[in-house]
Amino acid sequence: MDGSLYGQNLCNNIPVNKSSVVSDYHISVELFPEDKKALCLQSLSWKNTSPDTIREIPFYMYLNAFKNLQSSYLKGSGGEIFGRSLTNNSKKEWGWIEITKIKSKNGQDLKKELRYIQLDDGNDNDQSVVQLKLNEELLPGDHISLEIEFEAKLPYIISRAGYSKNDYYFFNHWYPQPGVYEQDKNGNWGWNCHQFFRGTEFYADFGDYLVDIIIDQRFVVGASGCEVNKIDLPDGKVRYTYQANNVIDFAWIAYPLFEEYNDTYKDVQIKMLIPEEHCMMAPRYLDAVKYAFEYLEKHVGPYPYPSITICDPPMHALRSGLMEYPMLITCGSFYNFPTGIRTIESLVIHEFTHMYFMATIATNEKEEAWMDEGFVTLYEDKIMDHYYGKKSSLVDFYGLKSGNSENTRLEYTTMNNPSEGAIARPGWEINGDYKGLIYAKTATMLRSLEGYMGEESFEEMIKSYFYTWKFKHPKEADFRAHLREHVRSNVVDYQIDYDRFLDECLHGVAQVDYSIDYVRIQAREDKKGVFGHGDAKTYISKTSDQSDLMIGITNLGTMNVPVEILCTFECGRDTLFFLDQWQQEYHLILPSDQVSRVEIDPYLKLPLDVNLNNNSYLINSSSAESNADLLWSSSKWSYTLIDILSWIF
Amino acid sequence: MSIMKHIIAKHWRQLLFIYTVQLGISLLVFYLLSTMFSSLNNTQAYSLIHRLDRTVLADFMQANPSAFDLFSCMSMILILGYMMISTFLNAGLIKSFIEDRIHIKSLLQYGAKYFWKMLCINGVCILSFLLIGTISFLSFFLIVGDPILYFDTERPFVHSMLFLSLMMLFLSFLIYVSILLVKIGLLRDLKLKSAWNIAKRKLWKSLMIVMFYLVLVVVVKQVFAGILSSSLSFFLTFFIIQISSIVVIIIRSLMYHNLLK
Ligand SMILES: [Zn+2]
Repeated sequence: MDGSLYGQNLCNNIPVNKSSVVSDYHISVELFPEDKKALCLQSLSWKNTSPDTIREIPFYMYLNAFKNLQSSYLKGSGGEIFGRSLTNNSKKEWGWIEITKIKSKNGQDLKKELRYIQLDDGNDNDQSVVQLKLNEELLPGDHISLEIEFEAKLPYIISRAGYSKNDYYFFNHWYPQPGVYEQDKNGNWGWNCHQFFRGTEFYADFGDYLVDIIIDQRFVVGASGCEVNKIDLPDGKVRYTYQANNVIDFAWIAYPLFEEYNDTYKDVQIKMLIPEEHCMMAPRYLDAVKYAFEYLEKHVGPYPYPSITICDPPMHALRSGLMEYPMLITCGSFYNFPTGIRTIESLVIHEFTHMYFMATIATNEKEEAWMDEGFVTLYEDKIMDHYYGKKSSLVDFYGLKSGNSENTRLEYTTMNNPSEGAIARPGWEINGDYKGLIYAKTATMLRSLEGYMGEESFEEMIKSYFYTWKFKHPKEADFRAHLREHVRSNVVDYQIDYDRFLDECLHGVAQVDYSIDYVRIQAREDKKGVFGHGDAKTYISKTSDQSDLMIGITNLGTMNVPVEILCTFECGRDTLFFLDQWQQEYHLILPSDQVSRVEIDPYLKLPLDVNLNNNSYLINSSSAESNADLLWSSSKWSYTLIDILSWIF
Repeated sequence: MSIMKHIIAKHWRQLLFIYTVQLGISLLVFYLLSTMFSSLNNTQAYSLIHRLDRTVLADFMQANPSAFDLFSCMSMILILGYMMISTFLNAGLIKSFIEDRIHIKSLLQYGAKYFWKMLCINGVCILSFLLIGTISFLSFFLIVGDPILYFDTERPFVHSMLFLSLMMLFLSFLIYVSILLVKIGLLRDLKLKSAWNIAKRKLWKSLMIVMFYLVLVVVVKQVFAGILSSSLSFFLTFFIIQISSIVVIIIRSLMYHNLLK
């Protein structure tokens, strides 16, 4: 498809909630490959949507995280980060951003009003946030317009932003971007603009972007939003104009060796940039992304943007992969990666789902990372399992099988210490297994929540959450209030204390492991003789030959939550109990000894349970059928081994 | 066909003996597993019978961290134990073929006579495989880290890894066949040096023979696996497994007989 048509007619016909837009950017950027640097001019208009008078504006200057080993991002890394040593870095390999001029609308020079601030850790060497002191107060509802000239020097990729071999450039968090002026947990207004730390991601406000990228024509370019114009310049350069509305960020990528694939999902443009050696992966990526489109549209809400650009970096730039920006995601693959190993699909679906949870429901990724990563992992699991098979969605390779949601649950349960800390903490406080906790435990918790609510009700809750909170910045309290209201006014499978459940999961560290403690048959006591007195006297002539079934259930963990129990009788009938006393132990008595099987959580509605193997009890376990199966499987293994050994030795 | 008739008609007692030993081992494994399963009493454990379920295994390992050590220790004992038995039986069988003896007694006598010699050769075989494994492993990890980032693309890396794996596979096969030929030479009471010389001379032809029988046995096992994967009664399952075990032993005997010619 013609590049200039790409998205042109699509960019403007998507209705957006303009009230959310706080900033208006017009950036002109020219890349100078030999210096690994871009010279940029940014016109920024920022609106004070708060009831306060604003006297200063802090800006993210995140490329400065890669300026030296003393930045808060690199400090304490020992000069080695993500397996790469920085101690031998040449001057050219460091990155930074520097504002060379900053003027107000009326031409007043404001450069001397800039000051780097380090409110989080007091590290004077960190320049990841710069504060501009305004020489005029900005009243509620007023705009400020600034003209900013800056240089963005890319590092040799350390993490995400940077350059690599063969003129690979990835610009993200590359321009001065204001923090978010908002109400904190206690309702007080103030700036939320944290420094850049290794364990944290990003948080910014919604804005409209018009970005001119001036670059040699040999480059293939991809960016957030839509390409709305392309002009050939006289000196062998091209000017691309990209437009992205109502987004929290703008990223772009350039590499001469990208192949470009264009596709659509309904009205949405899909652009895939992939190095030639990975081209065999393109159909896999495109299929996976279309599955994600279809699933999320049906189960969460309509895709809120006109385009998506998927970039698969070459191997030498893999450190820029696996990341999400509005309408631009990066993934990661390998030449001839086996089709039975679907990590590629899983990752691209994950990053794409961030367009819903991160780009649209723009939660604070730094302070409440679980609110995007947890929801994204849940939908990554759902999409993968739905389209690629529940037990084999992630791996189906020569008999080895694993499902995506199965993998997520195990990432939580097999953490070195699943109780190492609470989920609901700022990213910089989490030192242990970040992924196990923030991604996997949250997703597993959400699946358990769905178990209590019922699939339909959970889906309705998420749909209304998306509808209510799109283009906003919900916090934990907002999600919980939404859930509370939904549960109050809608039908759910089980009415339990959902707040108590979320408290346990998000702020507690305990685990749950319900197990069957005992199952035994007990004869009823003999009742032969005369009972009662007066007219009510009864004579029972027969001794009872009936027995009761006693079942003991114990939680081996310390997080007590409601759980289902299924008893199956020999006649095939079954009874489901819901144990909702939030107890450590339950003792059940069933007036029948004809039970063939007792199961805790038979439909796996509580995947938070860390050991599922102690969840069932078969009363008569051996049957001829299962013996034949066991004989066949054990012989398969023993004869394979015997044959190999006999042939070799 | 005539070799087959020869093998079955003449050496059937010895082959039956080997079959019985293998049956004993596999029944032992079945017994150990079935006691384990019936004591577990839960549906999750039973799902393992049908397929390797990652959740069941991972939950089990998480709840019983030492179980894996115990399991690998038991498997190691079984593997080493059967390696010894196999060394003994193969020495006895091949020597019986060489000497044209048909009784179980001669199989046992020859097995005992050549056991230590064959065990030493098998030791060499294990060492060579370990060496090849280590080289492959090291060469993989030398490239897979940072160095791969210095290439323009990973394509040559993937190609060289594939080539390397094929070479290693071929090398292992070459070592396996040479060692088999040396064993035959030693069982013919040749000195090690002349056994080696003969092995070198017959290597290429023997490679073809071994390859043919290996392919045959893989095909046969696949066919039997196909039959067994449909749901059958306990006795039918048992019967088919026995047939397949006997067929594999006959194929192996045919290979030895062919190599002896
Ligand atoms: Zn993510």
